[in-house]
Amino acid sequence: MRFRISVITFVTFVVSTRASDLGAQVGHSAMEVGTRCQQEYQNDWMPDVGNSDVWRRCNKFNDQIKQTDNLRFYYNLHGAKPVLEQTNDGCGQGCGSADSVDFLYMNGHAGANASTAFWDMWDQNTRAFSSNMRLGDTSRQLMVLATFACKTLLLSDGNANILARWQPPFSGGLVMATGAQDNLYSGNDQSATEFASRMQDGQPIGLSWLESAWYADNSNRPTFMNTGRDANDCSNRSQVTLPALFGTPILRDSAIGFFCWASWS
Amino acid sequence: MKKIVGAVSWIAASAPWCLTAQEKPQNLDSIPVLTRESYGTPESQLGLLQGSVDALRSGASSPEKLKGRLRVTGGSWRMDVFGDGSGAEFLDTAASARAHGLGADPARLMSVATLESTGRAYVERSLSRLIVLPPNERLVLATTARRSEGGMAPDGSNAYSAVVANRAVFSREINGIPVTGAGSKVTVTFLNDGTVESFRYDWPKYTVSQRVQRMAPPAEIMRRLQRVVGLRTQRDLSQPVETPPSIASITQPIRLGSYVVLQDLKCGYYDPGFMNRDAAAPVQAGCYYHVVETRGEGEFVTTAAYSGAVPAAIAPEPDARWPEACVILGTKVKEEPKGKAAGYGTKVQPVPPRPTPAPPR
Repeated sequence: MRFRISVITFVTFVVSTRASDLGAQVGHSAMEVGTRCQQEYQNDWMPDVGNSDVWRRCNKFNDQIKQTDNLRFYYNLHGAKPVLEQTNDGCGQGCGSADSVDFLYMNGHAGANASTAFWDMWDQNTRAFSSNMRLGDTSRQLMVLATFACKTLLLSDGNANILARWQPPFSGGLVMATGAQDNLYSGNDQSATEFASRMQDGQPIGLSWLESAWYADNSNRPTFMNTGRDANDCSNRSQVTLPALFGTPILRDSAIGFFCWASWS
Repeated sequence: MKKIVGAVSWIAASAPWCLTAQEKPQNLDSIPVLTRESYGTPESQLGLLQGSVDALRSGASSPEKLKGRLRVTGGSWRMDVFGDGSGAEFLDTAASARAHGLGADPARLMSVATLESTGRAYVERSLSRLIVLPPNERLVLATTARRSEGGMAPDGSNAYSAVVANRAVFSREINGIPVTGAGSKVTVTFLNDGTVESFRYDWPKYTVSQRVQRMAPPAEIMRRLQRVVGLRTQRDLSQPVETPPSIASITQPIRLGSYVVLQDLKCGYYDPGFMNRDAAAPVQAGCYYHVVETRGEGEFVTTAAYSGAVPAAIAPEPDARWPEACVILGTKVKEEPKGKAAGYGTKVQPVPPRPTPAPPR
């Protein structure tokens, strides 16, 4: 099902919370947020990074983001492949699907090859592929996919491969993806709080990602990617903030004229 | 693989404890434990900043107390002072917005030497009242970083790549011993035209305690690293590994076991930074590590990356917020709530439509 937001009357809830730690935050319409994380894997087919790092990181993100936004689910990655890929990404918040929220935060293991970025599911030998994704075209229409995992936004193997990996998910209208061009080290999970907090302060979503991950460990290689009608539009949209997110025009398929990215290295 | 037995120097260095700033210690056997001393109030530190940083002198709002920080904002900037005032961050959003337009060809990067000298000059000119260096301490360049941008049209045309910001990170040495971890760092970020886009520092005031720690030999530190990383990766890493003569700073990869590689290790005092430290905990010897583990093969290789620090003293002191110290000392680490399985125990509700965006102001 596809909502036409332009014809739906909906009461915009502008965050007005004034708790002591929110005093300086910039008001924005509350997002629907989902979190999907995985610490340990079936039969240890992928490593448990230890120290409860994944659960702690995701809890920290959740604790911070829910001060201003609607955290609708916090799920693991058991059986999550179809609800992240186009197969069933609009199945709703109860099943934790990507397109059922505006903002999806993930933490686990991932990688990339010439044709796809992949996220390792809890289920042994099962991966979700970016090449099978079309994000932002059903249900709530996902706008931001934020993944704390290695190499989802690999940039070093040529533009053709970057396009092969990321054109499919962006073709559905996804506004921004955050990830890494190389490694993101588990260890300092405070970056999750800082990421959410910076966004709530009105800093650009992409910059919030870059700064929070890089300051957590200077060896991290955080990266974000977004689309635009052309190069200038792409650059302008790379500065999107939470207050501006819902007003950002959705670009799908042939409306996408440019892909752009930024990274610390 | 070569197994090296017996103690070798912990730091390729040492001598008498009290050295001048430029002297390098050799064969260090023990170091005094440090404690953190309060700066006073964040208000007093903010006052120092406002008297030192040009951008903060005009148009500042009244300080606003937020959770764990004090904030002032100006027309296009924001300044946060953290905790007791030992850390702060400045961001000029107007400068940040100009970064793209000032992008430079990656082949024409600001050199590391220029970046270091420009960064030092800024710290000395604008932050010297905050970044205080006693005679036995010195500011050292820890690393540099570049923020790059790139892009292309869907057909691959019009591809571009540019460096838009340059970052210098300084740390400190205390009697020649570096401070590792996120603490004791000053980071200054410049646009290509030399404008300061941001700075951030974490600069606690340390006091030498009466307690002295004897250093574990390198082989023991490597064993600890294997133990800690073995727990994190759930792999058996008990086999002997190469121990270099000095582990003060390892920059070449060392295999810790099948598929597990130590990328780098830097030893000294360990300070995890204001976001993660217990201010009351001691500052003690530690070695900061980066380790990667690979799983899979062919087209599907996953890299798991780990960072942290292992205690480097023979008898480390307790620190509940240092996970590796808890492992070495046998202290239990708190478990975290896990994500649930989707669809179980969840009241499924229809997905609400997105609100209509407010018209631009």
